[in-house]
Amino acid sequence: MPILEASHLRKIYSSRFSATQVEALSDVTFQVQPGEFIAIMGESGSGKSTLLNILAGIDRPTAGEVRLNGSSIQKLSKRELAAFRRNHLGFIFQDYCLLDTFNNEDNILLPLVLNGERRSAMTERLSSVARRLDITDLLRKYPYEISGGQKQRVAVARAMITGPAVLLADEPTGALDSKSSEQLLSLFETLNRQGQTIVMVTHSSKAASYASRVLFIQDGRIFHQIFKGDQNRWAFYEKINDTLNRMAGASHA
Amino acid sequence: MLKISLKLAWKTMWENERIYVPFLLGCAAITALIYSIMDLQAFYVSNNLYGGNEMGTLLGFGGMVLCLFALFFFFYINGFLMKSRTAEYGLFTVLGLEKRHLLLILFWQLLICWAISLVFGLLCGFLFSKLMLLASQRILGLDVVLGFSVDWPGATMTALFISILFIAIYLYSAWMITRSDPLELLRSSKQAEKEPRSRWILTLAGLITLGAGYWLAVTTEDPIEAMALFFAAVILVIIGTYLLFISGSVTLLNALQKNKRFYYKTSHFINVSTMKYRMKANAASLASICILSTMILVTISTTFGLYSNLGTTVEQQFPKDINIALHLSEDHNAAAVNEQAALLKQSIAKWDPQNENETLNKIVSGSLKGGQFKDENNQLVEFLPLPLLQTASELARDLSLAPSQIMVYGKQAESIGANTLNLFGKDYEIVDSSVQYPAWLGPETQAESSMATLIVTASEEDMESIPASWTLLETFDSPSLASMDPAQAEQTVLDALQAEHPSFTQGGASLIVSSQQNAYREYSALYGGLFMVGIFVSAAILVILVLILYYKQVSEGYEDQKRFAILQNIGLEKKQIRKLINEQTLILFFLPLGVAALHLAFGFSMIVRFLSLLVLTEPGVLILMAAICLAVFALVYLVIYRLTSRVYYNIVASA
Repeated sequence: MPILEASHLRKIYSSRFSATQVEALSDVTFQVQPGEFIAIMGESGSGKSTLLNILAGIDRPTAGEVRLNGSSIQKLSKRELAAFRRNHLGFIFQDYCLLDTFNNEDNILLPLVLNGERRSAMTERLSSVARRLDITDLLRKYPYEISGGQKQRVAVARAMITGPAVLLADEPTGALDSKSSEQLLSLFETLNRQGQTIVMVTHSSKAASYASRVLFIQDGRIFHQIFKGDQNRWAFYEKINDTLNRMAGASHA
Repeated sequence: MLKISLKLAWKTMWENERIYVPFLLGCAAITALIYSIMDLQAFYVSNNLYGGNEMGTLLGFGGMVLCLFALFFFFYINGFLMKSRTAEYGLFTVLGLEKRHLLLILFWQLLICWAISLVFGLLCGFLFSKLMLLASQRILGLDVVLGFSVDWPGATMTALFISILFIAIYLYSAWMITRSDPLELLRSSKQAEKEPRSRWILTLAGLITLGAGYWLAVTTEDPIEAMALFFAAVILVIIGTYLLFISGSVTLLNALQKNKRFYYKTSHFINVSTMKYRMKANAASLASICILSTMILVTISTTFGLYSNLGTTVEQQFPKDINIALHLSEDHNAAAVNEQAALLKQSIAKWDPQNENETLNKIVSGSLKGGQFKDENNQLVEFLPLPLLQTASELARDLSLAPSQIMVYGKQAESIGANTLNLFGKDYEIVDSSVQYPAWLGPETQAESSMATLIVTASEEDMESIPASWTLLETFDSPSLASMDPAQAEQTVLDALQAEHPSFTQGGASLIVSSQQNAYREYSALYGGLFMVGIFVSAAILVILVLILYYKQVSEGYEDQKRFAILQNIGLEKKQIRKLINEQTLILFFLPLGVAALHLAFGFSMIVRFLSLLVLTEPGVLILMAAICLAVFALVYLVIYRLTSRVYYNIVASA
C-alpha cells in the first residue's frame, strides 16, 4: 500500500478583486511507496511548491485528495490537521525556519513540547536523533551561532524527532553552499537507507540525483518520471539533465 | 524634483497610515491641550476674578509641564517614524535618489504633519478649552460665562511652540539621515538578537532600591519629612522599576527556563522563551509606561482628593463665618492684650450677641523643660481651652478633661520629661502628650501650630492665671455673622474694627480678618487649580501612553510576524497562536499597570501624610478616590489594549 497518495489534485488561485484565475495544479496524481526518496523537479512557477504545500496540509486543493497511510487529510478538522502534521509529517524548509529565541535543543524539541510529551521521553528521543545527525555539540548553541549547513541539520533533527511517516523538504539545499549541500543530501540518503520516506522539492539536478525517483512537473501537471534503479548517481544525474533539456525543448516547440 | 518629492512624501505617508495617523492624532491632541491650558491661563489672568490669580499661576506651571511632555513625546514617537522611514528611504536610494532628495521628502512629510496637526489640534483646542473653562468656573463657583472666543495670542504661542518642535525633529532626523549609510538603510532585516542574560546584581540592586523606596514611603511619619523624602522615595522607586523591568524580568524568565519541569510544558515553552526577548527589547518602554501610569494615578487621586475635601478643610479652619486675629507686638503685656481683647469682644457683640467663642486663645512664648513653664527661649506655646476646641471640631466632642488636667502636643511635648507640668504656680496632670498632633486638632498648618506647642486646658479659667508680665502675642476670635452678606463680611468687619479701634493697627499690631466664604474661594482656586492642572497633565500623559503602547504593538507585530509564520509552518494551529499572542500581550500590557497599582498602594501612606499638612483628610476617603481613579484608568487601559492588540494580531496574522 502506498504511504502517500495524491489523486487528481487541482489548485486554482483566484484573486478576490479580479476575474483572472491562475491554475497552479491542473491534475496531479502519484503515489509514494514506503521507503522511497522522491524528488519533484520543475522550473519556478511550475507548481511544485504548491504541490508540496498541499501534501503538507498547509494549503487545500481545489479538487482531488491527499491520503496518508490510506486516510484522507482533507477530511480532518483544522485542529486535527495541525496535530496530524506534527505527528506524521516532518518539514524542512529552504530558510531553515528555526526560531532565534530558542537554542537548538529547544528548537528540536518544539514539536514534542507542542504534543505535550513527557520530559523523559523528550530527552531520550533528542539524544538519539542528535547522535544520528551528529549534532550533539550544537544543542546548547543558538541558531544564529552556527553555519547554514549546521542549521539545516538542526532543522532535519526537528523534523525527524516525531518519527514522521514522510519527510517533506522544500528546496532544502537552496541556501547552502555546495559542500554543505552534499553533506545534507548524503544525510538524506542515509536516512532513506534506514527506511525514512522522503519527498523533496528541488530545482537542482544534483540534489535530485540523490533520490530514487524523480517527478518532473510542468504547467501544473506531471510531465514525466524517471527511476534511478541500479544506476549510479552520475548516470542518473545525466539522465535527469537530459529530461530537463527535453522538457525545455518541448516547451519551445 | 520639488513636485516629485512632494508626491513621494504624500504617497509614503498614505501607504503607512498605520504609522502616521496615530502620530497626527497624538500631535493634534498635544496641540489642543497646550492651547487649552494657555487659553485658560489667559482667561484667569486677564479677568480679575476672585481666586483667578492662583488658578492662573497654577495653569501657567501646568503649561510648562505640558510643554516638557510634548518635547519628550515628539522625540520618542519620531523614533518610531524614523524606523519606518529607513526602509523606504533605502529603497529611494537604490532608485537613485540622493541624500538631499531624501531630506526634501522628509521636509515635505513633516510639513504635511505639521500643517495637519496644527490645524486639527487648534480646532480641537478651541472646543476643548471652552469645555475646560466651563468646568473650571464651576470649580471656582463663578457665574459661568457662555460664549465662544478664540485666544489668538495663545493660539500663536501654541503654533510657535509646535513649529519649533517640528523644526527640532526635522533637524534631528535630517542629521540621522545624513549620517546613515545607504546600504544600511535598505537592509531592513534585523540581525538576530543575542540571548538575554541573567543579571543578578542589577536585579538585586533593583529589589533593594525599590524596597528602600517603599520602606521610606511606609515608615515616614512626620508630614514635613514626608514632603522632603517623597522625592527621594520617588527617585528610588523609579530606579528600582527600571532595573527590575530591565534585568529582573529577564533573570526571572531565565530562572523559569532552568526549571525543566515548568519550562517544557506546552503552555510555558513558547511564552517563556519569547517573553525573554520581548522583555529585553521592551523593558525600558514598559518601565516608562509603568512610571507614567503611576504619575497619572498619583496626580489625579491627589488633586482630586484635595479638591473633594475642600468643604471639610474650610470648615475646620473657619468654625464660624469669620476669623479675626489680632496680633500685638511683643512689648505688649498680658494686661494690654486683655484690654485690647475686651475691646474686640465689645465690637463683636454688636454683630453676634450670642458669640460663644468669646474666649480668646492666647499664644505666649516659653519653655516646658523639666515640667516647669519658664519664660525663655521664645518657643511659641498656644493655649486652647477644650470647650472652644469642641465648638470648632466635631472630632473633639467626645473628649473630656478634669479641672487640673491638660494635654500637650507638638514640638516641646517630648522635652517635658515629667507627668506633671507646673503652669503659673499650679500643677497640672498631663493626660496625653505627643509630638504628633491628633486628628481632632485639624490640619496642622492652622495657626502655625506645626511649629508651636499646644496646651489644651480644661477651661478658660486656667488661662486667666497667665500673669500680666508674660508676653502675649495673639488673640483670636471666631464669631458668626448671620446679619451680614457673606461676600462683604470680610471688608465690613475689617473697616468697622479699624475705624472703631485705631490701636488694632498701630504700634506694631496687626489685624487679620478672613471670612469663611473668601477662604472657600481661595482654596477652591488653589485646589481646583491643582485639580485642573492634574487633569491636563494626566491627559497629556495618557496621550503619550496610548501612542507608546500603540507603536510598541505595531513594531513588535512586524518583528513577530516571521516568528509566528514559522510556528504555523511546523504545525501550530492559528487558534493556538492567537492564544499565545493574547497571553503575551496580556502580560506585557498589564504588568506595568499592576506595578503602577502597587506603587500607588505603597506611596499612598506618604501621600496621605503630606496631604494632612494641607487638608483634614480621612485616609478612607482618599483610598476610595484612588481606587476609583485606578478603576477608571484600568478601564481606559483595557480599551487601549483591545484596540492595539487587534492591530498587532492583524499584522502578525498577515504573515
